[in-house]
Amino acid sequence: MHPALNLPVKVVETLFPWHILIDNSNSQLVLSLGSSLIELLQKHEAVPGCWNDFEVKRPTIDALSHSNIQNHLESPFIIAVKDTAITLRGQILLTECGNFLFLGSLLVESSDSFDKTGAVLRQFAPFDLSPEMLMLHRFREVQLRDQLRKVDELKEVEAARLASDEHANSDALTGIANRRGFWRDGEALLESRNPKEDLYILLFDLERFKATNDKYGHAVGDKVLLTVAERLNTKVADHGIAARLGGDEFVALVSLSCDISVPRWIQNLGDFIRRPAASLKQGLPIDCSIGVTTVASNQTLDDAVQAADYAMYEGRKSGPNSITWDSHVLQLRRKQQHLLCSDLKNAIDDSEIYPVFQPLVDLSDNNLIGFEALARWHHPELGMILPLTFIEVAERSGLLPSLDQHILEKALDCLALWHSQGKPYTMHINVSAPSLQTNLAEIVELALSTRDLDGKYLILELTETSFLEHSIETRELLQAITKLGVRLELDDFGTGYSSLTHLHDFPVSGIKIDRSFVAEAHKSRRAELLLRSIMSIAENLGLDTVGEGIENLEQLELLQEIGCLYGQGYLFGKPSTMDSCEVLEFLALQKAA
Amino acid sequence: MYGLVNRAIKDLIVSTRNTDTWNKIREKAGLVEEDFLDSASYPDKVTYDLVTAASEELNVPAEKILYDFGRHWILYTGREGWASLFYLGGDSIQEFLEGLDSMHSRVQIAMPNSNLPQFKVIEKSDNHLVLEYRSTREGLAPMVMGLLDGMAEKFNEAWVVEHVSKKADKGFDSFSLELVESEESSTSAAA
Repeated sequence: MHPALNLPVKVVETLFPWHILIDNSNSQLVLSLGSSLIELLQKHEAVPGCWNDFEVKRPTIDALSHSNIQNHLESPFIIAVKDTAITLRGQILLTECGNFLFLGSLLVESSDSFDKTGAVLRQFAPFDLSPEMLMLHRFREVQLRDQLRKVDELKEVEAARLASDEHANSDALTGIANRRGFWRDGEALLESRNPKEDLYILLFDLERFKATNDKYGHAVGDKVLLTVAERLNTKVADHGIAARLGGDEFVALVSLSCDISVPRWIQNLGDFIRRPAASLKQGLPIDCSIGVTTVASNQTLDDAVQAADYAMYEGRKSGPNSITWDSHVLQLRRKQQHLLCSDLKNAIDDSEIYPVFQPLVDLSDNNLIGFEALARWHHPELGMILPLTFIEVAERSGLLPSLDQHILEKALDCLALWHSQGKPYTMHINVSAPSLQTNLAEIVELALSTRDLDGKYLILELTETSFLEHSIETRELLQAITKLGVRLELDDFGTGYSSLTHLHDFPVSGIKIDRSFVAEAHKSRRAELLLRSIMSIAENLGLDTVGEGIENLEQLELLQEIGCLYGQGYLFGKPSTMDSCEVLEFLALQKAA
Repeated sequence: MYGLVNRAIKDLIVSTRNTDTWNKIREKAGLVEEDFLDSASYPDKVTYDLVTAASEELNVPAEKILYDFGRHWILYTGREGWASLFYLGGDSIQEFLEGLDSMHSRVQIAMPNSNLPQFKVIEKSDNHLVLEYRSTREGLAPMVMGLLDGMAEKFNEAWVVEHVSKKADKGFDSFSLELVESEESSTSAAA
């Protein structure tokens, strides 16, 4: 059954005052839309032969013949108005009188279609949705434009974010990743690790880099860093990522095939980095120590870097340019240090760490002249912790200045007590390199003044490595300290890199000759000559001399013979607590007598 | 309000002043966004804050800002691709105003979040119309004044517009529009 409407012509005319009747050979088609369509058709000279201006898009028929229309009465018709962006969309119904009635609306396909028609709103029939279509169409254009703007904005934001991200994750000097970038990319590499390869963390630390900076200037220092970064990146790029963690410290995370010799690959990398660079001053060495660890599948990046760092640090003790692998022994030691680290701060605060005193004597008469304060830690659970162990822990955890200050305060308490008892001893206290980066002069001044002590009774012992790290600032700090009357002595003299330079550059008033010279001097002629030479230099420079590690009479007599002023060693007494020092004092008096 | 409105305010400021002034106004209005999306719906407060900030920054009464904006709206929407819809509204002010509610009801289909006003045209004589403007929004009558003057300009008709009663009095605003013979047509007639 075809749909049929019983619509006499008069009714059609009443219902659709704006319609057009198209005579289509043996049938008529009434197009009804409103005046806009009338005008449109008139513009196209639609009547008669108006079908030339239309093209039937749907259904697929050649022409709007009576039979074609009858066969598609239930189909939606899409009829395009030729040469315009307008189509008629609707359905053709069969009226009782055998005519066809097209009911539908205009559809505009571009927002300027109506400009061409010249139609205004009131000319559209109430049921004609074409104005709405026009508005929707226009609104879609606006939405599309908004979306494009949004996309552009997002692209800009993304580009800015990427640039900012790149900036935040790159080292400004070398251009390779910084610590942040390394962690970001490293974590990703860990997650996507190749099961056929092993991951390794390599930690690089340049030797004496600060000395290079001081000696040749920061421009040369920067060139060294750039050279190392470039070389490291060149070799590592195909296997992983390289980064500068800060200062003279670099790191690499590499994925290497199990088929190659990894130790050899790392050795070659180290050799490549250390090669002399044409861009650097002739003879300027690039020395670096390398710590290596294999990254276990359950290991975090943080832990692996710490392991490599620890290995590198341990390797440095044996000399420059070492390559040290993390090992079970190192892991145990690291674990122990980690545990001690958390206890150390409390130990300082709770005075679990305390000073012991080793006597120093005047070698001309063997009189006790003072003490060197040495730190000891009695752990409530682990018992006595070796000084080397906890000093290393303090160094790694940045607690050395606190430790130094703690011993300074405690030792000066004892010194003040001795002075109040009429015993004008001197006190030798060790100061670590990190303390020279603090306000040590003020700390010392306050410590002395609160105890009403004269600075001349305090001797601070410094190692040569303290000077290596911070030349200009260190010199100013040391000068401030000497203005307090405090004297400075160079500890372990003869074991460092350039002792004589330091004697000239820094306001030291004395040297403590390293125990290795004292131990050998009475056995070896060569060692004796060396000792005599040191004494000669010190004498010419007007420096006090202290012989360390005197354990027997031969050593004592030799030092006395060559003119060493003061002595220290087990021969005079082992380090003791203040209470036990009374015995030392008694023994010293006996020996002097 | 749709972002289209706020963008038109920006366009007015930038075209009559400069971008720096716009940025100051934007900051004064406490806006985070640098621009608006035409098709997005923003709280009315954004538009009111912009008008207040512009008034303070330019040291011009808010009513003047709204009036200028009304005039600018016609120019702006035409330039931004809404011209075909504008002309769909009619060929004269009267025709346009009479079809405005019909237009708005159709606009609402495309912009369902719009809170559009209602307009009623009362033809007092051939040359005298009264327009009743009803809106849930407050204080926008100066903008309607600007819109009417802008439309007159667009249709090249010489209407004298007067705000004759306010919402506070009757619950809606009324505008009187009187058609005066333009100088050009007077000259022609004299000729």
